[in-house]
Amino acid sequence: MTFRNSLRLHWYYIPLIFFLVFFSCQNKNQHQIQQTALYPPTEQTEDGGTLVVGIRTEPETLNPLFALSQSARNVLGLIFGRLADINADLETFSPGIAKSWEVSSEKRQIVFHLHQNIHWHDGRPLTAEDVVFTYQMHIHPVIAWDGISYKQNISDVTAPDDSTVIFKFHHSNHTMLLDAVEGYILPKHILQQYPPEKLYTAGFNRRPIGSGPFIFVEWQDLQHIRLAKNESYFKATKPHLDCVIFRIVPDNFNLLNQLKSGEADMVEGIHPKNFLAIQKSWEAGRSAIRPISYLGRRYDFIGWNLIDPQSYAEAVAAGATRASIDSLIRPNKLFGNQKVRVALTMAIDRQAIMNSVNFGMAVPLHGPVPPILPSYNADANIVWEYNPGKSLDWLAELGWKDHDGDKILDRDGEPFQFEILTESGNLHWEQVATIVQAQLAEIGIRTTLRFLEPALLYGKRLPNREFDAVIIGWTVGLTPDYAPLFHSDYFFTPFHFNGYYSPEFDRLDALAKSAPTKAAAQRYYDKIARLLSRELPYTWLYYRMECSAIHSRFKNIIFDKRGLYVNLEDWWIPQSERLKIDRIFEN
Amino acid sequence: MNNLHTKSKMGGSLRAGCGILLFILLFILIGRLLTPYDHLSQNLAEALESPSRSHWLGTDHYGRDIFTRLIYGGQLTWIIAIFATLIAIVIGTLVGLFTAWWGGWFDLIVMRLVDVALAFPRIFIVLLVIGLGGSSIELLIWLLALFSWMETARIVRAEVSTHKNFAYVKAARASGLGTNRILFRHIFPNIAGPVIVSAILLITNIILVESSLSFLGLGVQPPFASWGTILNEGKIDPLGNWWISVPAGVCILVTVAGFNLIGDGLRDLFDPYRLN
Amino acid sequence: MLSVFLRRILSLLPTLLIGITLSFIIIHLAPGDPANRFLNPNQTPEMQSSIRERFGLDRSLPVQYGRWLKNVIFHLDFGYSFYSGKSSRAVIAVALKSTAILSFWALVFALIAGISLGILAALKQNRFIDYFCNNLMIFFLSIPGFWLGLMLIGIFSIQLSWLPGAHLQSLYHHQLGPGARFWDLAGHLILPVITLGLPLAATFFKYIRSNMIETLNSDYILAAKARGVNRSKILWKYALKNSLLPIISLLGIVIPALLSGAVIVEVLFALPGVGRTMVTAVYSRDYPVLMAAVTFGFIAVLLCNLLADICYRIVDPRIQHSPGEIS
Repeated sequence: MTFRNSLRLHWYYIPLIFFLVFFSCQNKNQHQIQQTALYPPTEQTEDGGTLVVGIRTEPETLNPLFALSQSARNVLGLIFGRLADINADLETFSPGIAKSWEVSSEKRQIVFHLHQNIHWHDGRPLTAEDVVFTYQMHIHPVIAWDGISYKQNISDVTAPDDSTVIFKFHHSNHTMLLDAVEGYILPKHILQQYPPEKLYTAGFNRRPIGSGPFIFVEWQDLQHIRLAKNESYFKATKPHLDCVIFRIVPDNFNLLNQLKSGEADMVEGIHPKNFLAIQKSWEAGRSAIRPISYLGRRYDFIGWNLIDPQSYAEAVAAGATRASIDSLIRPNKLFGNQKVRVALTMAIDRQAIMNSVNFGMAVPLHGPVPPILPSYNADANIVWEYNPGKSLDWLAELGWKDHDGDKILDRDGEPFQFEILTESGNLHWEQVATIVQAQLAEIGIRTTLRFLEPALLYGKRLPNREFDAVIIGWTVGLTPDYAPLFHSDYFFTPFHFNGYYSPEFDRLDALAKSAPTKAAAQRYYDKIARLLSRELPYTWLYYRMECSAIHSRFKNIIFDKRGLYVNLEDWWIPQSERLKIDRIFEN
Repeated sequence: MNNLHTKSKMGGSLRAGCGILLFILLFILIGRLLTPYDHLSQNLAEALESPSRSHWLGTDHYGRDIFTRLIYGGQLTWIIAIFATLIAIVIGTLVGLFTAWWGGWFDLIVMRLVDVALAFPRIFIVLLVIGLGGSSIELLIWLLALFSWMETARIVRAEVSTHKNFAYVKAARASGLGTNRILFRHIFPNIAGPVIVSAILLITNIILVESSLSFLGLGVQPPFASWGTILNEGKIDPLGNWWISVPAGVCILVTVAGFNLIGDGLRDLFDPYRLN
Repeated sequence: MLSVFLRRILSLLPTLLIGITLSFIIIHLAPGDPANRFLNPNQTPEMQSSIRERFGLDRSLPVQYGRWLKNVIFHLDFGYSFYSGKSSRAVIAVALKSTAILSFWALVFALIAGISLGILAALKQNRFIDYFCNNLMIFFLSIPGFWLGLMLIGIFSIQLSWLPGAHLQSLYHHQLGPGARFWDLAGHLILPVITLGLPLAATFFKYIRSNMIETLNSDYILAAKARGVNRSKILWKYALKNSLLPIISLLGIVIPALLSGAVIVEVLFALPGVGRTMVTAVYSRDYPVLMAAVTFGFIAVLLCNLLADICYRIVDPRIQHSPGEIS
């Protein structure tokens, strides 16, 4: 069984917790635009200048084997290189460290031809040996690399000569190339000095040496990380900016302040409210801070607990396996019934939530497939529109009525009440939860809110199924995989917390994965979307737009669903618009 | 001469403090008669409105009336502060009374524990709050109390150590009264002054700590709110939506100032040196 | 004197050990597992156990504690951060530096402001300036710290653009000359130092003012006055010295409070200090960093108490050492 690591928890570790991490945006049609270039690419560019990126959390490490946070990944993308980089269509690739490759389905292998003149930042040549070493690190059990799932279909990696690497696979499928190129290539000559179990604490993690367009210069703890242009970058176009600085500012208010005062040039994850203000002054020509919004990678949802927590605990204690799910697990007394989930979904006004929490900078979401993926088909979902009257009718059919006149629905003397969990410190979800609570109260459902710290929520309550409903979000990978969330193979794993079990889903998922072509797979993805949007293991709320802002002196910026760091090496600043900071770190 | 002046002035600060607190208490207790709104019902269409005739202090992100929320928020703030202080004072007084009375090894060990507790980083409140699964109001009260009783214990211990040698205690002892009777009937009334002063100081401290817990997102859970949580809710755009956080901040400020004024006045009243 | 000093240091050790052990237990028993950060739907059981092994979490709690204590005592090694892989000692050492700078200047600011205004108010007792200072100080004592910080940033950093609102130094700090570096640092410190120092200044003010008034009215000062001793000599030589004495013992209480008050200031002003490091460590369950911070914190607090005590003895020899007395 192979599967993709396509979904990760919204894991706002660290100071984060206090500082509202907000993402979303307006302009509902923007997701149809594949890519946005802020300026038409120009022939003449000018070298020099400094970009200061304001970030909330400090990267935990700059070793690609251990980095999990988004802030670390953004920095790593500038320092390290991959064999090939995925394009905006999420299907084709552009050359990276490999200048070309041949995919052979029959032989179940890919042959990569590396660029001849690539050097590590310390001057040593990058060879096929480094690629092989990187693969060995990726699958090393002691390393426990986060992206291991990409490598599970690979049987062997060899280097017949210094510039050729051959990846061999167990099975041939349409994701072979993606699997092979995932992960940054690491310098063997440095990392082999450390035994694998010492790598986690290696000095390299704080002073990385890569092969990317920017060279690591310094890291001042909790203050900033500074990178400089790589003069001997192997690609034809060298980076234009002299210097990129990541400045760490945990407090949101202060971070925005830095953007306004010019101490930071670029900030991501701006609260929509603040974003709208930035947009207003930009449009009025009062500010040099350009707002940027695009459909990102996150959506939020309400997850219902479909199973009875106690029966789950008993089943786990009894060593239950997938085969005994049916006999051991009892459905949840509230949400085990699909009609209840539909009724609750119809009682929730997504649009009101989006307007109030996201200030309109989000698109409603009705099914599991994220709108940024090629496999998204809006018509495949069954849409349960906001309709509290109908919701009450459905509940009444099931016996939930306000018999005793206390404005709370009840059945057999039991009031309809439950607890909604969300992550504490994430003001965004706290707000969604507060509004959902009020909307459910409208139809007579009593809820209590509980905001839990991430370690407790994701580490204890969800994995142990000790919850009724939870409001959180997922970050979406670039390839679709719904199995970890809904497939019965994953029934006892932490991410499958809502306990959805459907043989029909299992069947469709297997068919989609083994489909020989993308078109064939699409049919099954549509069926999956239809099935899940009817059964509603989640009530999907909305897909967020990312809100960022960047100083207008930077030209040639391209951003799309892959993010804002797609072509940072091509950014440049005209001499006439340079500021004091641009001259300080001149090379 | 100077002493007399001080007295009258300090009496003034006592009166001023009482006046302020009385006003705040009236506000949070009968303020709800002044407002037609409910503190929990949302009206998303009227979200984030600036102060107007219908909403005296504007509305928050959910269109709830800030003025109304301040009234209910104040109740919670006061309840938390008063109960936490009471618990801390009771613990502190008991520890102080018995350590001073029994002395010896018991005293040594307990006071060493007090040292540990005093040196404990306050951030552990945060760890305990989140570790124990969010923050119910009872939990908050207990944790705040748990981290605040030590000063009182020290003060009481010092006072009792002095009083132990006074004639009235010796007389009580000689007449064969029990420990509890001496401690609670005879000594305690005589040292109540400093205890009350320390309670007043504690309460100001607890209100401020509770509000900084809210700043860290660990205070009272929504939809309910204390002044600290309301203050925190205005953090997204503190300059643009000043009407959310400023009034809550002023409420905290004025209340704490009121207690501080009373504390000043009382300290002066009870100050043994000045009474001489 | 020396033996008293040594005895006191020895008597601190059990306190320290109890505190550290208690912290270790609280930290490790708090729900949540550091390995959860690496949670991933595709993780195999071996990967999971290798991560737990990496952090030594596969051992029982007493074994973990024994190992930790041994490494700390014999090698001064607090282990590696679970979160970043850095040495915890290094993490704390870096953070301590900036917390020390911040706390030191906040203390200096508070002492200067508190003492000078306190003396002024005491001398001008019951005049306008006295009332004014008194009420101002009550205001500073009563304002929530983070609110004060937010307002200072809003006014001086955003509206007026006079002072930077974040960090300890500019990005180009190391490109500056030595003089400019000093001013750069000073500029960055002003707002956080005021935020942290104001409530403290108010505390000092109250002590100084009431002590000063008390001393000025005490018998020996009145006697000196009656003898016709020069007024300024009375003031500076006798009254001030006696009024300042209690401040020393106050320092033992104030410094720990300063360290914990620094948390919010450090987060608000993005300063790389111990408080911020600890909050981060709490949330990621970074046990080694937390324990290193707690240990340093305990030592700092206990040493401050001790130093205050000793200073007090030196300045005021009237106080005799009594075995039952632990201040």
